Amino acid sequence: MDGMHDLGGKQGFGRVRYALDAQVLHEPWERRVNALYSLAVRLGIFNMDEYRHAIERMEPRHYLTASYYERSLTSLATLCVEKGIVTLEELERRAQGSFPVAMPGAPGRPNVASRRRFAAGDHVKVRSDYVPGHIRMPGYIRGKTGVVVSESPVYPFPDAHARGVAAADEPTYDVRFRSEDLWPNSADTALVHVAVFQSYLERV
Amino acid sequence: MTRTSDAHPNIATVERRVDAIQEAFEVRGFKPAEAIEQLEHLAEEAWIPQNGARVVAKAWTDPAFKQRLLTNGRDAVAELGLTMPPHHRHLVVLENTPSVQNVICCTLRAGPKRSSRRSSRKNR
Repeated sequence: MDGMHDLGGKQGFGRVRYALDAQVLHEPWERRVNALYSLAVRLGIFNMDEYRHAIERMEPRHYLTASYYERSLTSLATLCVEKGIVTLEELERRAQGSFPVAMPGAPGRPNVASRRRFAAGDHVKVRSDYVPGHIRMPGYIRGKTGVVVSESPVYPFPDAHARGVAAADEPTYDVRFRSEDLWPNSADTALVHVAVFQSYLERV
Repeated sequence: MTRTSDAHPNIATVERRVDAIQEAFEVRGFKPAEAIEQLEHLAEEAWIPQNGARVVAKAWTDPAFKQRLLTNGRDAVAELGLTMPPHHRHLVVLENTPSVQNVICCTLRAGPKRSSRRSSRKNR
């Protein structure tokens, strides 16, 4: 989906700020969230693709104002409710307040029927599909052409795996794009590599 | 951390929301307290930057290990006692050279206020 999470290439944020010694986990509740969602995955309540999709389909304003671990918490709660582990009513009773969860989102899709293997050096184009459900394609590469650098091993196809749709695992391709092609007249000259699932690509 | 929005005027604090999930897990026998304690131990003692430093140092000083690392990172780091859970199927290691510098941008969303430093492990 073209949701709020898809920030790559968005303008207006200014320079990326970073601290070399930034802590990954700050508050105790963040450590607890991390442990609880990891536990839920271990117990088979949901998989990582479902987890990511549940974050992406948070109500946009909630998504933008929530911290990383609040998004994680929201995904965990959303999936526990949707999977019938607990009701939202029980969570809100225990939390003594409202507990916002994500929006329903769109169904998944199986592998693209015309997908094919690629080799290093192949020129490929990212398909101009608009997928309402989960997709691991950043919007800034849609319709763009690049060169395959290498193939990586197969993993569950996220568009399907995030929604319980049967699909074959797919390889990803390290595709090299020119920044001038991605953002004409708006970026420093650079080569940008993106790992792209097989179903997102077609031969040029 | 969370700003109250018009849509959720009575939103519970994040701590209370985490408590709610933890309590719900507890009464269902999921043993969340143990999971939390286990993660604390792993985060504090097992998953430390020195792990990566040891791997890199060995690659710098042992060319054969470096080749194994670049070929199959998961197997190579296991030589140093570093294990990965089964669903982390692969560890891909990329070498920085004078002409190529690799920057891994985790495609998971970034937080609005703080940066996050991620390990160079590609997680799929």
